[in-house]
Amino acid sequence: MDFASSSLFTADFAYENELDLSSLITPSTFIPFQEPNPSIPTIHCAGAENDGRQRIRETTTTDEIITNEDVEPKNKKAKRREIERHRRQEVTSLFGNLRYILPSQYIKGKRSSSDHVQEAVNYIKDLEKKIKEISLKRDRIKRSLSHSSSTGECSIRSLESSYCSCDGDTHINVKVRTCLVGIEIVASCCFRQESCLSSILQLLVQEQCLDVVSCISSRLHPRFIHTIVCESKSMAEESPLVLVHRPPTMKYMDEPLTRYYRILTTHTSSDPLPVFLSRHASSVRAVVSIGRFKIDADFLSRLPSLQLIVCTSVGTDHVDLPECNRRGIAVTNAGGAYSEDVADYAVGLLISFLRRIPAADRYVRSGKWARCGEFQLGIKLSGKRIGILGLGSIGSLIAKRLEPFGCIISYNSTRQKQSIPYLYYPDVVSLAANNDVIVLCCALNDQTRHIVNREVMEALGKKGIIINVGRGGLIDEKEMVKCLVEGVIGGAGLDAFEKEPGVPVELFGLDNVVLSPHCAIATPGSFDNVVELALANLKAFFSNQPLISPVRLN
Amino acid sequence: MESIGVLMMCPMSSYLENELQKRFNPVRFWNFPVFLETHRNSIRAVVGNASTGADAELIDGLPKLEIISSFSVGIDKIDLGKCKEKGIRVTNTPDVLTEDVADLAIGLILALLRRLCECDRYVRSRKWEYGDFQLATKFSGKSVGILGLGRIGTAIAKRAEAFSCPVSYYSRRVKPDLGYKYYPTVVELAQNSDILVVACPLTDETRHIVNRHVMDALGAKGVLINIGRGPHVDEQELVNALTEGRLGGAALDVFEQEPHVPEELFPLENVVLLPHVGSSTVETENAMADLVVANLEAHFAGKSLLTPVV
Repeated sequence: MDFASSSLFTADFAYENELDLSSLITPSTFIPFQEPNPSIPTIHCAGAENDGRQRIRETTTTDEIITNEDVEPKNKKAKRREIERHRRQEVTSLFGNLRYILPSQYIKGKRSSSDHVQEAVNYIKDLEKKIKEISLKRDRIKRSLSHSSSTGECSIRSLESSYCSCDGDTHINVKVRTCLVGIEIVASCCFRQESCLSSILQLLVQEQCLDVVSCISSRLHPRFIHTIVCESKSMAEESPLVLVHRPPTMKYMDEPLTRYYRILTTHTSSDPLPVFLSRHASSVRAVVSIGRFKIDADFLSRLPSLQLIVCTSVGTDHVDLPECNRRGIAVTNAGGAYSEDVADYAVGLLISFLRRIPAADRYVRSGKWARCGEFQLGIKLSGKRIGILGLGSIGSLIAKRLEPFGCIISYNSTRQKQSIPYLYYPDVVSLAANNDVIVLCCALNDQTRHIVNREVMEALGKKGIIINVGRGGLIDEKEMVKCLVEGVIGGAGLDAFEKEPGVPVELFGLDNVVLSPHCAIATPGSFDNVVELALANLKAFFSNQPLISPVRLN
Repeated sequence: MESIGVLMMCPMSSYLENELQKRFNPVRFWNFPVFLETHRNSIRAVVGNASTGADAELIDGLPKLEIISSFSVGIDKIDLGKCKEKGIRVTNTPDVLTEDVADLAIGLILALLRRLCECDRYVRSRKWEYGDFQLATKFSGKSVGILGLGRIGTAIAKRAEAFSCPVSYYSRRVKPDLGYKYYPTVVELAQNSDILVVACPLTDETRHIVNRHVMDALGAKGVLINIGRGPHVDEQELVNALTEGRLGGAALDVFEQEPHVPEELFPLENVVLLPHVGSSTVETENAMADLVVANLEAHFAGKSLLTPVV
């Protein structure tokens, strides 16, 4: 961004957008410019530290001839550069704060700082609009309540004339007035009228738009004074309830969801899960499933109103899909939100394996390179035959990335398409037999469980390599460990295991594996993508639009 | 041909040694520290590599030297001026190692950004049983700046494009046919790149071409990938920038004083350190060895050299 020519902090911009930016301009941005003293040696400023303090180092300019004429313009330039650099850093940290504060839907897809500032303006305007709307609503309620023809008021006033069978001045006295959050009801009744308070509360429960916030009863002998404060609910429809089924550590969906929905989390209650569900979730129509917590038939049976399960993973093997199909529950997954990251990671695992990158890095860090000489040779990637198992969105991105490396791509998939330029193999064994590397990126289901078994590994051969960025269950893990130890296959790059985070201990001592803790998706960009996708699916569902990333259930 | 003395500067490749043994009389410099007196008049060729070449002193000490065939593509360790002066031919090994070096550059980027080395350590040390690994950085879509768009630089560019990375470069000459964005200075290239890859030859002009200004321009979110030569980068500045957090990370295959690597880098999580393995695959070393031998054979048979530099 060229700060010198940007118009972002001008008075005009602020005026046009009705913003008060005076708090953004701190005194430090106005660094007074001083005339340099030629007798002081030239000072070069080392870049400012992040917390704003500057470390100034004197550098001797012995290789330059300093004359009086030279020093002045050089000093001016240096000072100006210093000011600019300081300003730039201030502005950068301000922008950092701004990006942090803005909700992600405002800055999604917007990269430049000037866009962010514009979005901040939009955000402020949206908030102002919301505040106006809510104030209008409250005023409306105020007016309707103070009008004598309002039903609420009438019902409450009718209490005055009924019920009390006491003598004289001991009947119920009710006053209704507006207050900051809504209305305040003060009812005074004789102490024998226990039903007074409950009648009022019953009436309020029936009123759709009032929530009881507080109820204080004081005894003023011989009367009770009940003070009830009610909050006016939004006139709009209450936001839907969404159940979030997740491990305690994976919180990234909570805040985005609460912007549009009321959420219920399964891990916060001390009740056992079935009890919790039956008690609280009978009206839930949508569940967000994060992590690999099972959603089985028993879970589903506790949610009679359930119509949608939104998964933040691509794999849906933890969900009882046949049961969902039977119940008519739709399931969505992460679609292509992670595909690029997983494809990148698969290529990374492959190169890391062939060129022994983790082992070589260890070799250097342990000091062995200096002591023991050259590291062992790796294996060339170019020209290798790569067989992709499952040519979905991840598989095709992997193929696209490996093409310029001179690799020869072939695949096996449930569907063979004429438009795909790669060679098709009808089964996994022939895929393994004709390739140097097989990359697993297909879904885990009953047909694909242990699809890579001993037969496949023997076909792959002692120079063959397995790269797994799918699910651990795709491989017969016990057999694979044997094949790796015995040299039946050449090696493997593994991001997934059958019983994560448990990894077969025999692998830890092997040189011919690269191990990874199921983090092929783990970049912030991926999480942003999946949040956006999950919200889009929920929005589509609640507004009866087609789902964005539905999973086939049969 | 068996009597032709070929001086091998250091152990390079057993395959190469065998091939030379079949055709010539290889003299192993590392076995004969005081060889000069006994063999100097029979040495007609020298085979060097990226770490050991032929300086003026060595060339002067070999009166019968006719050809230096380097087991590398970089020939910064050979005194080219002296060779030109004395009419000594020099060959290297271009093209056969281009793919491996480019593959490694991408491998380094992925290993650095996606923390692959740490991931492997994390699982092997059983830390995964206690918690998930942290988030890493996405590669796809990041802007890649290539310093030196020669054979290797172009190969890296093609690979990076498949990851949807916008590619830009700095080079001595603009290359409009390739369609990448050109920057006239290294600092500007660094300012506009998330990933800076050094892929140019080492000459007097390119020594310390990645200096403090470049590293500052790359910044705390930028990373440096060096598959060129160690002296391309001001190593002391690099160590400072990394330890102080002014540079986002670095993946290095080469260093100024190989095999010595600044120990301050060892505990850092945002570096990947490799022992100069750019072209270290079985297939490529064999192809390089074949090219070295072919050049020597052509020279001594009076034919034209395959890959001459001088």
